[in-house]
Amino acid sequence: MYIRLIVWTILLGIGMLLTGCNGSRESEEVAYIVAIGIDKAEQEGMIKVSYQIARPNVEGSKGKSDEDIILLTNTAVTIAESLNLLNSTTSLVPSMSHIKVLIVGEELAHKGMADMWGSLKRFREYRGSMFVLVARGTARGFLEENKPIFNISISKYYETMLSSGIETGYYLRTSFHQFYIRLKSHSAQPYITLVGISPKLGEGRITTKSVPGGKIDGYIAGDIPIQGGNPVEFAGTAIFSGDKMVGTLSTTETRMLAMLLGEYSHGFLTVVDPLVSKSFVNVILRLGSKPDIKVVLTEGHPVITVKIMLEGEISNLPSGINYEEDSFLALLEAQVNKVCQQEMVNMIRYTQEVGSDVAGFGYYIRPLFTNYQEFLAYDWFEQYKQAEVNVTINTKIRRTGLMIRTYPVK
Amino acid sequence: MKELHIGKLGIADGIALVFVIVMPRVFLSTISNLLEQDAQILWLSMVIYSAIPLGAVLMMIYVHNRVEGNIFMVCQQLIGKIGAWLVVLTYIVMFISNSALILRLYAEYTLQTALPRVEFQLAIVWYAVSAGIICYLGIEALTRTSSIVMPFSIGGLVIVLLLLMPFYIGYNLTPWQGNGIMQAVHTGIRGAGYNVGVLSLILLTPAFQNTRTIKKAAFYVISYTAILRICFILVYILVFGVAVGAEKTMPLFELARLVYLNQYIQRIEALFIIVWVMIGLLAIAGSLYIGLYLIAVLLKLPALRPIVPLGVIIVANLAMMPPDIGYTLQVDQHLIVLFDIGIYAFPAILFAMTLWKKRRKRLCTSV
Repeated sequence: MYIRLIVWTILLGIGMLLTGCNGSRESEEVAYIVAIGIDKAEQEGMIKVSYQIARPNVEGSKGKSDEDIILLTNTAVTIAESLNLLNSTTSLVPSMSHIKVLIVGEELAHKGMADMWGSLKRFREYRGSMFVLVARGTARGFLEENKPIFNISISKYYETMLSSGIETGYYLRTSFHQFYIRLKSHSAQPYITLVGISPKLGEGRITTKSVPGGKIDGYIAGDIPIQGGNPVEFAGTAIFSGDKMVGTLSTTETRMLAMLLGEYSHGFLTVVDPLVSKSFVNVILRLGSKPDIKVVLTEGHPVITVKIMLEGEISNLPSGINYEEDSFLALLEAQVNKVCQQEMVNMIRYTQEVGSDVAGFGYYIRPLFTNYQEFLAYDWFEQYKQAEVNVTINTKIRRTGLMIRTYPVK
Repeated sequence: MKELHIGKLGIADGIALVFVIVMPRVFLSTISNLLEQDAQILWLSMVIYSAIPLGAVLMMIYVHNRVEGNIFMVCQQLIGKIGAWLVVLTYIVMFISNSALILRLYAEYTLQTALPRVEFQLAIVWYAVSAGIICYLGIEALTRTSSIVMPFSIGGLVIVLLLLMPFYIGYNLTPWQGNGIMQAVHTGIRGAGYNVGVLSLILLTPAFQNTRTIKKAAFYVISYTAILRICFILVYILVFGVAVGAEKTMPLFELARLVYLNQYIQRIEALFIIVWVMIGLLAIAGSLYIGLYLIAVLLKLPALRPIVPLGVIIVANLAMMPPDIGYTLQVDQHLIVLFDIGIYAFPAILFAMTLWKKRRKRLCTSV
């Protein structure tokens, strides 16, 4: 009888003591860091860490986004020490559990951050689902200049901006998890979304010239010819070999990478009109199926065969030639094949030159090995540089948009 | 012994009891350590790892069908009093240390995940007291609670594994032989001891309706846990690969943390911490109960409840002994030797003795 009473009293006591959350803090007492930027500092062995902190009372409301955030930067030896220093400069307790993006300055990305990634993965407040960006110039500069023009909170801005990359394939979002997996993988190398600041002069700088038959040049972030709006651009991809950034892919190259990764949702492609070289044709492309990639070893030498199936829809036909008809349609399909094939081959060759298998061809070679040690001993990344690559693009224009024939303009 | 509820436990109770004792290791670092050893072929180790305990249970059922009584009485009849003491004492050490180890690991991981600012001793005491209360309420309460928790935990686990589908990389499972078939066989044979919890069905034989109940429960629970473990391992490798997978301290927590479908379906690990904690509590309580029950049997105590607080204090103190988490994980890896004795040596000896006695009896009768 008494023992039951005692047990119930204990249980009730424990229950009462455990109500609420441990170490609870009101949201006004916490500095919710939305973005964290890391740059190389002037002093040797030091880093500059910038924190974009959301004002708790306005985050989620539709205020002016540049007024909703605070940007603080400090210089420290490590990110952990930087957090200590941050605590000394704000009355709020910093919390990293809501970080949306981690931005790395270009210089630091080139130098390598092997010693930093591990600590980000180990500490519980950093999540694998946060996105990683490489900023041309500095991360601090990117955070400073980033002023979303629409009335959305800064965290929503990052989410929507990175989700909308699939609309064109011109940039790919990379979560910290994906980056880290590739960092430790022996089959693929990491890539990160490239961001930059545009001078907004309306003059761009082409990074990749269009291939024969193509009409589209490739840009990287910061070089897109724009005027007005938010100067921040998400375009292209930073590619890595190990923990070091070794190059960039332009928008058009990134689209090819997206196709190889099977992450190309859809996007416009403009090609030279096969019959009227001064004119152009627009098609909306999407992947018809997952890319068919095979890697075989011929006398120990890797041969990569890529087959991409694209489905398209004509979205603009200024020349007035009836590409809607079967006989002409084949010409258009061949033109798209030619352009995409050339762009893809160029992109792969470039990654071979810089030694960065961002397409992850190394995954496809794994089944050829009987055990893991054998695969590791093969040293795929070295072999990739000399791999033979065959690309076949098969485009099928399925639809002709809202028009079934075109009459030329008189 | 009143608290044992003699003959009351059925198949569902048996399944639930073993499930909560053996499953927590999937949530702890054991999988990461095994992944480092075997790489992609870890699933094969799991098949072996699960099949061997089933053999041990079948051997023990054979023994119990021919020799009546609790484990001590059975051992006494087959290998003498000293042998019986040795066997039962070993099982006591095994279950008490398993309870202490899981307690320590759960306390550590609670501090690392949900409650980083809580005092370590408080976490230990909280788990130990809660486990003690469950033990005090008896085996029936423990198994029934486990039966309720089990479907939710299985459901939760399956949901997490499915939600991670966008992160699957099929080629992570290749080269399919991982670090070699022989290595997997070796790990499977050596790691079978981690399933020693299955023997709780045998050690608590009097509590079950009959040996057929035990046999069915063992068969079902080993199948369920094996399937779950294998699915878990495959998804874990699909998502993290071998290199990163072997780095993780808490595989399930890391998987749950990774779920990101969109802006609205993410950060769901908090829900799983609850399931994880409940399973952990029941695992500590289950192992502790069996340890205490064996003490009561060995010392011929009329009741188990009075020694529950003592058991809780012992387990809590044992759990606090390792100076750090690294040492605790080392102890866990060394403890497998003891668990292997429990799963291989004793059932084999008792089975052999039963066969020998049966043969001798037949020979005597024929003369």
